[in-house]
This record gives sequence, C-alpha cells and structure tokens, in this order.
Amino acid sequence: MTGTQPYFSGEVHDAAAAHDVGPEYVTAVGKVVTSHVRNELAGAAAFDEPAIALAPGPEEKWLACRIAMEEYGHHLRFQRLATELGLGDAAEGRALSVFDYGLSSWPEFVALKALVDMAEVVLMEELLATSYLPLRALVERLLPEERFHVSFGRAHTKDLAADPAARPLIQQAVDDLVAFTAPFFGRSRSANNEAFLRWGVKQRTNDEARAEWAGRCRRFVEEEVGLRFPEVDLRWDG
Amino acid sequence: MSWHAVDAAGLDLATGRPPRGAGWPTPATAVAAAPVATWPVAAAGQDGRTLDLAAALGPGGERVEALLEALAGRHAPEAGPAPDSGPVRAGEGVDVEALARATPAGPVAHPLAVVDLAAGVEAAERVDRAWLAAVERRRSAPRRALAAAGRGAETEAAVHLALLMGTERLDPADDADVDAHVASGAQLWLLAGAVVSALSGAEPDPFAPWARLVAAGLWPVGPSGGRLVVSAPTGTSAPA
Repeated sequence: MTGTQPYFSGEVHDAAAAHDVGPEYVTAVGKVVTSHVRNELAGAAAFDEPAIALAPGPEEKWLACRIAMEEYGHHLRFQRLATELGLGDAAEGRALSVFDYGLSSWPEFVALKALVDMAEVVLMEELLATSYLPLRALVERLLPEERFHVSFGRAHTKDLAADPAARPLIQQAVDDLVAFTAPFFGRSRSANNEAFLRWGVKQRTNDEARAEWAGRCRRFVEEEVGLRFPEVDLRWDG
Repeated sequence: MSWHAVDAAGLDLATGRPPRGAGWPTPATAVAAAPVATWPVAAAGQDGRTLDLAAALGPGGERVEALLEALAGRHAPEAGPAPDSGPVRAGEGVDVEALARATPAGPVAHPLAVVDLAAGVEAAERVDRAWLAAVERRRSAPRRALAAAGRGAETEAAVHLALLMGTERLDPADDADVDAHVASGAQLWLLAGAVVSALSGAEPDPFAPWARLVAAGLWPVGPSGGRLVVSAPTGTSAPA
C-alpha cells in the first residue's frame, strides 16, 4: 500500500459494532457497500439482461440468463448489507459511468464479462481483507460467481477471436471497454479512497487497483487471445 | 399509506424486525423491494392490514402464488436431504410426460426422453429454433399486455419474488459448473415467463405445465433431434 497509512487495524463484527466505531467508519463502509448496490444492479440491467436477447444460441442464452440473475442477486445481497447499516435505499443515486456503455452485440458482451467483470473481481478480492467482517463474508460468498462470469467471458472471447470474421469485433470491443472501464476504480486523488485506507475498509489506492486490473486484462488479451491491448493511463483525475 | 414486505411471522423482510418507518406506496412495490424472500410472503400496511401475496398482486395473483408455493415446496438441494424422508428426486409427484408435452408453444408429439444434465445441455444446442422463437413470442406478449394495463409494478413484484426464490433453489452447487449454469439459467428464464403469464390471466396458461416441471426440479429443454427432451439436473424419479 502506498500513501495513507491505516490508523484503524481492528475487525468490526456487525452493523452495531460499526456504529460504535463511529460515523466516519460507517460512512466509509457505507460508500463501498452502496457503490456495489448500484453497480451490480446497473450492470445487470445495462449488460446482462440485454445479452439474453443477443445470445447466438440457446446455451449462450441460458448462461446469460443465469449470469443476469446472479448479478441481480449480488445487488440484493449488498442492499441487505446497506439496510443493516441503516443506509436506507442505497440503490438511489447514480451508478458509475461505465454503465453508460451501449451494449449492441454478443461479442461485446463476452469481452465485457472478461474485462469489466475482472474489475469487479479485483475490487471484491480487496474486500477479502476488509475490516468490516459482514462485507468480508459477503464477498467470500460472491467471488466464486464473479470469477465464473469472468471465466465465461474469457472462454467465449477466445472462441470468437479464433473466428476471423469475429476477431475485429472483439478487438473493437476490447478497445472500447478498456477505455470505459479504467475510470471504474475512481480518481487518483480521492478523499473517499483515503478514508477507505485509513479505516481498513480497503488496502489499495485506486491507481493500484486500476494497475492490477489492467495487468490481468493485458495478459489475457495479449497472451491468451493474441489481440492488442490498448494503452491505459493508470492515473485518472476525472 | 405505507407498506412493507413481511414473512410469515410478520417481520419486515428488509430488516428482520417488525415493520416500522417509511415503507412503500403499494403492496406490490413493497414486495418488489424485498431484498430476500421467505415463503409465504405478505405485505403489511401501516394501518395493520396484511395482504397475502395473491391479494398484493391483484388479478392473477392467486396463480402466481400457487406457482411459487410449488417452487417453495421443493426441498432446497443445498440444505441436504430432508430429515427422515430421503432426498427429493426431480419430477417426484408430477406426471412428467403429460406436462412436458404441453410446451409453452403448443403440444409436441415427439417421443419423450428424460436425460441427465450433460445430455440436456447437448440437446439444448440442437433445440428446434422455430419452436424456441414461438416460446419467446408467447413469453414476451403477456409482459407487454400487463404494462399496457398499468400493472408494471405487480409484474415487477411477481418476477422479483420468483427470481429470488428460483435463484436460491436453482443455484448450481458448483460455481464453476458450466452445464449446471446452463440448466439453471434456462429454468429461471422459464420461471420468469411463467409468473408473468400467470399474472396476465392467460387462459389456458401456456407456461403453467412447464412451470410445474421447473418447480419439480426438472429442466424441460424442448424438441431436439426428433425427441422431446426433459433434463433432470439432480437425478429423477421420472420414467426414462
């Protein structure tokens, strides 16, 4: 970890204990939980549900359906965590701009699952060590499903990239999605991120998480798919 | 007036405590906002009234309730065998052949084949595309009709609840098992179509027979390779 050092090294067992730690801690945990409440819902609505109709065959359709349901289920589980913390309806408010991406084809969808869901995996993995134990327990439960979504996206991306007709579509999707996804991790200078680090809610800066995501995706795209991975500015200032 | 979705004990599904504070403007919006589902589900108003699910959903609600009752009655696989009763087998207690033949796109006369999960996935790839397109049309028509009738909130509540229950009960035991995800996704797709069809009051309800198969733990795949295929993802008591 770089920059801000944590001044809180304890573990918080439940919502009541979080409130005992103090409002700053509840706010920090709440912001992370709320972002997942919104983004899981937005992702299911913007990408996964439309993909059911874009699927080229029944097997892909049923897989897309299952994935959509899982993402919706993740939204609900984070919502429950938010309710326990007394955050009200955390789904109100704006999801990240990555969800403004207009999904229009199956190749885009599978590349999206390989790349954008990897961003979700990176963010969730960081929460495996979060100080708020209900959040830690939740991501332990959800990560296998998120990893399945990535593996689904990777397998289908590789299959499509092997088809000369579809290969340019995959390359275009990679170019577009990488540019869209990099801001997903937040600004390089972020008061929220500093608070997350201070309270042990997260362990990495936004730029470190962005670099971890970009490295994993670059290796996949270049080494496993044999396509070009675009340059990513690991700093983002909005 | 304010409403909360509650469990059988009258506890708020969002908090696990007696309902209090601001809720939702209608029974349907309260059900649609429930973060978890237990069975039965009801809507509690701030005036002390409690509506069962059928009443909360309005016309057609009793059919949705019956469908979800059947789904809830199936023993959840992740809970292990039910005490003293042995594991529930897929297809137990239903006439698989009669129900399977009444597909959502109309009767199919092909020979019935009840197959395992892998064979079901294989058959799904070769399913009759014209038949599947007909199912898609029948699936989307009632949703449009309900929206046009101003019943979007009730539709959302029924689908939300069905998918909460279905996702829990049809969740693949292995998060990396692709075949199990295919079967589960197909079952959820049918289930979502079935609750909307039920709510719409379609008579006869084209999805009702297959909804019973899904509730019994089966995956009706459809006509494929000259057979009418039904898959039993977790084993079956149905005749092969």
